Amino acid sequence: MVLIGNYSQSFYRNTEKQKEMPLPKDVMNFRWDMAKVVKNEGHVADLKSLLLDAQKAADGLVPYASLGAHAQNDYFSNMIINNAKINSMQDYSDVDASLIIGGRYSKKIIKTDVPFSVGGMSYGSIKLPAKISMHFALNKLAKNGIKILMNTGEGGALPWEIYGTEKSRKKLSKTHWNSILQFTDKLLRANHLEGIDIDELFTREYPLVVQYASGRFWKDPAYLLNADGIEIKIGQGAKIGHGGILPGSKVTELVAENRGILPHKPAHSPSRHLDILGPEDLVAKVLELRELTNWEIPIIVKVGASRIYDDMEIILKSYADCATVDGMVGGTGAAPYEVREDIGINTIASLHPIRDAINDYYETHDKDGFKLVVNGGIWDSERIAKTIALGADGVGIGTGFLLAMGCTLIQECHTDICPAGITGSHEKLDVEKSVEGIFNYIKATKIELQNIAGSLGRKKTEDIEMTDISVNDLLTSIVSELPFSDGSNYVSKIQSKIDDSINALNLQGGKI
Amino acid sequence: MCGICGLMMDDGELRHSPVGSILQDMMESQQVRAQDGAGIAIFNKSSAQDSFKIKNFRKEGISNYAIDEVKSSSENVSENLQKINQNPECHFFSFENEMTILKETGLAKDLDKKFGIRKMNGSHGIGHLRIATSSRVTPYNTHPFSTTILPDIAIVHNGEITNYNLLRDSLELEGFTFHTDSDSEVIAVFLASRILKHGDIEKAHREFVAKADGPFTYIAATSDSIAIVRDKFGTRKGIIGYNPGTNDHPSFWAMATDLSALDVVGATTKIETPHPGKPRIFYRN
Amino acid sequence: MRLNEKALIRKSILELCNTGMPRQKSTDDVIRTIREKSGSEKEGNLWEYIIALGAQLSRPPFDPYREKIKLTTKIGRKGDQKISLKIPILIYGKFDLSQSSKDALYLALDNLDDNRSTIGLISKDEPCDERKYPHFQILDDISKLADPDGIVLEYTGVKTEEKIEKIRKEFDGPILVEVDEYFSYYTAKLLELGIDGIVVNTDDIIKSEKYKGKHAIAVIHDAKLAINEFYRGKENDGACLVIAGDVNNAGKMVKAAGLGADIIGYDTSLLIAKVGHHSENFFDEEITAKKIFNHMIATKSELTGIPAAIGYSDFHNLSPSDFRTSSIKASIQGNIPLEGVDKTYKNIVEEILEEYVNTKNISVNQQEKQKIINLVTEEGN
Repeated sequence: MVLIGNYSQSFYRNTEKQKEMPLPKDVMNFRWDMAKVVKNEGHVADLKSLLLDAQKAADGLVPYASLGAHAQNDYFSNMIINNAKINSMQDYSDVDASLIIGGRYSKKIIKTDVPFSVGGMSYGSIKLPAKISMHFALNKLAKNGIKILMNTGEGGALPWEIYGTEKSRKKLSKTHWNSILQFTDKLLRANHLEGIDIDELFTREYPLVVQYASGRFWKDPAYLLNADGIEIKIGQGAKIGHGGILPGSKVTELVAENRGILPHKPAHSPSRHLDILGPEDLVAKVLELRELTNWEIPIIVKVGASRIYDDMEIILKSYADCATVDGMVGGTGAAPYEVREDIGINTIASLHPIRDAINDYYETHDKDGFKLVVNGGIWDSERIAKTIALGADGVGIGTGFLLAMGCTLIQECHTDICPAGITGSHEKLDVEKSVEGIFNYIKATKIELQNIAGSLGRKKTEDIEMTDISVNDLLTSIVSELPFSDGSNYVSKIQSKIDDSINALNLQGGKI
Repeated sequence: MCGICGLMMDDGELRHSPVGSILQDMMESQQVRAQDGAGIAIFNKSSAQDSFKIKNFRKEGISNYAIDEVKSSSENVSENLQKINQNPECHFFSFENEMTILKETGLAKDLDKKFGIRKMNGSHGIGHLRIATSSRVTPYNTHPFSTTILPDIAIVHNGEITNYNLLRDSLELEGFTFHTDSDSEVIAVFLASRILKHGDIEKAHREFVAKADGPFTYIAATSDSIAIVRDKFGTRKGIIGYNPGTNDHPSFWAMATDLSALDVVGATTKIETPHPGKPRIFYRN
Repeated sequence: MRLNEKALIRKSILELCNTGMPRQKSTDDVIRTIREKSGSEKEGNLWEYIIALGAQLSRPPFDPYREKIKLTTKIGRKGDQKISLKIPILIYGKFDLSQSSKDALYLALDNLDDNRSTIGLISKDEPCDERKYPHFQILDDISKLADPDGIVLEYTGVKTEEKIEKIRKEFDGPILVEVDEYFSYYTAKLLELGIDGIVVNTDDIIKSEKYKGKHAIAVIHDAKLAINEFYRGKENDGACLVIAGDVNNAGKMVKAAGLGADIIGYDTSLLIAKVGHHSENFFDEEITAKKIFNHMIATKSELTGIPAAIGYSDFHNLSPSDFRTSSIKASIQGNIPLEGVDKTYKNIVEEILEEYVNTKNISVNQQEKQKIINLVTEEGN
């Protein structure tokens, strides 16, 4: 595959460059001064807070943050898959790891070879080379027998994502196609990727789900019509109740052109769809999209995890084929710091009320192929397996793919300084290396997942269940309803505390 | 979330106005939105002055509910109310003097079949159709809601009172009793507590709009008034219309969430959308 | 992900990306090993384990750009002499400031009032004559009264009650009392005497014997309970709870408000004033004032954004039911439901106890049940 021509190793100016520098020097100096004063006065310094205080004092604006919240308790590492191995001598490659989404109300389905997908990361919050790397990697995987789903994110789709199939180009007029090619050329040139072969670029072998978010950042109706699925984004885990943000410094001219907005001005999506205020409105919206797409493609509804029992009840009654739930640690390109940190519940904690909502609904309805996809803090096979065991059908991965492209987790995606060149334009992303990394990541994760299912004696990854998992922590047991490895659970643990208390208090009739 | 409706006859003295029939028409026209429950409250002055009725739901078997009625005079009504407030098994749902509340799970048609709504007369009334979103589908979670604080208060509600817990805690601290887990009940309890304090129903509505948060439209009826109130941002719909009447039937004001409900009963003149945050009250003549 | 685990996670994923083959250990295996080695981590600041439930479908969020979110707060119970703040913050702090730092602070407070973002000040100093902002003077002697908008008295025992009676006769404005760790015993009495609220400094109170080992959330919970008990059977006329101490960022302020705080006593602006004094080569009053101003404006935006995302158009509608926790300790101390389960740890223990005594036929009365519950939850604390 011919990707890119030669580009110099020396300092490289990307014409899709930002306008402002993040973290002004005086903010950092100010923060050091604050730390000094606090220390000298004998108070306790919380350096993270001081940095935020310094930033607010410098510009009077709400400080942003990116990627996921620093959740103190993720529960995942307190869960153990009993006797399963991610690495096995045996060949479990015939374990069925596929996932089907759709069919509950849609005529068509999306079938993927793995139960995990690429979470929504939009062009704008991540740069073009990163998007192209994922595109090529997913194509390569599809050619190698692993079809995996990609989600566009809320900032619209790139031309080759919308027009990457022959069918989608069939009815295009010559003028329209030329303008698409012109825009593509602009995009490639600005990122020094002119060497890419157009035919190879305009190939999409993987299924694409487009996001229908409150900002409605697309101009071409083909965005919805050429998609394999539409996800109505009500919210995401990182900023529940708050709309999407792309800081003005990241709205370059090309990003603006792709989204149909003004460049260099921050792109704020409203915190709610202006036409979805309650359950009846969601029903109306789903039906509207079904009409538009002739009831053919699956419609998915995405929410962040917060009042999740009530939200799931509404989604189940809304004619959607699938729900996506994003735990609070799900990442983002930019969100107000406090909104990211303080709103939403953890992924594992949300699975309990989701199971309840689904079970309650199906007590009075027949099973009909409704699917659940869960995101938020999941990046490897073991976490995927645990989430599936607790009730998910599929899983979305975001940060994992960034890591595969070289992300160093400094969490400054909302500025321009990304050292890996994924979300910033000051460093150059190595596209070939990223494609290789993503390819290996997905391939290996699939094998590990099959090993887990196989070593548990299952023929399908979807058959991993709650009884395969145990916990080592009281709170995790309460929140997940899973037992400890010795067979006890939180009820028996608390009962034994009660026994101890009764003995300690020497209560009448109570000596156990 | 649901369909709400209400109407006030121009001539309150007319004891034979077909209030029940008009309400039933309005509700049946909105049935497609909500099928989990239906309920009405109708006010008729001709009911006896010194007799009060306290109605409760009582669970019978797995999912059936029977209705118990406790008749009282003004002498023993407080005592009976106390007993009910202190009994957690009792699912209180209506404290009546001139008012009658009838409500049940299921469709509006079924409500009419069971209780003969179309034959009920009066001066004004309100109606409601329910889609359950947060509380269970049971008869005591259906609207209209009433309160043990004062008789003849009924409310129907579309939307959510998001600071319900705060309002409820504060009212319970003051000493008022709640009987369900529905956020709609707080409207009835709040209004009753204010009327008890200063007697001004319009002021009570304004105080509620100022205090309550979230998207809502409600219709509240007392023995001599009916009001439609929208939250201060106007997030939920609400509409009023007037039927000028003919030789066959008298004139009345009608209100509902949807224009279609007004259409069906001919209340198509003087169409008006109540201002967000400003209660629109009609008094009985 | 936790800061100290980021490198581990990255290394683990990169192994997959470089080899394309399964690993020997998953990231959770690695994380577990590290945590076992470093010993069971004591829960740090409990604030970090408390989260709010955001609004999406079952209730819609408000949009702070288009819909006005109310932050206005009134201090004062009866009469016309109420103080109105546009942001529920009183500057209150333990940093001693130089005169020039104080001048910078006063300038910032005036500018905030000009910008419809009025906050107040609690200070030992005499109030400035031409000020635009409300000034609460910390008094211990009525003779030192110097025309403030409000008064803060420190609680020093029965003498305080006498002082209150004296001051009430001569001063119409709001009176707040800064309480000590025994506030549960005397708050009702003080409110009966007519004070308008209490100031609770959580940093000081958690150093006391009574609240040793506990966190600010336990103090706030108990303080709110004390005020609520006063109002049992009465109509609430607006006594306010001022919480100071460990509430120095917008997230903690929102959580404190959820637990019952009406106003936040905030001292980071004092810190900024002090830094302004030390860091520049020559102190610039205007630059420091601008920094304080900016900081408060940013905080104001955060304080409108978070309630809007939770579904409220008024900051003061935040209530305990909007919060959940991922810590058993926090659940016990603040009576906060656990996430996902929606019950407090105490509720869970009560339910298990009820079923246990019934199935095992253990005879314990209500009082004894309460003792058992207390002992079990104390252990988890």
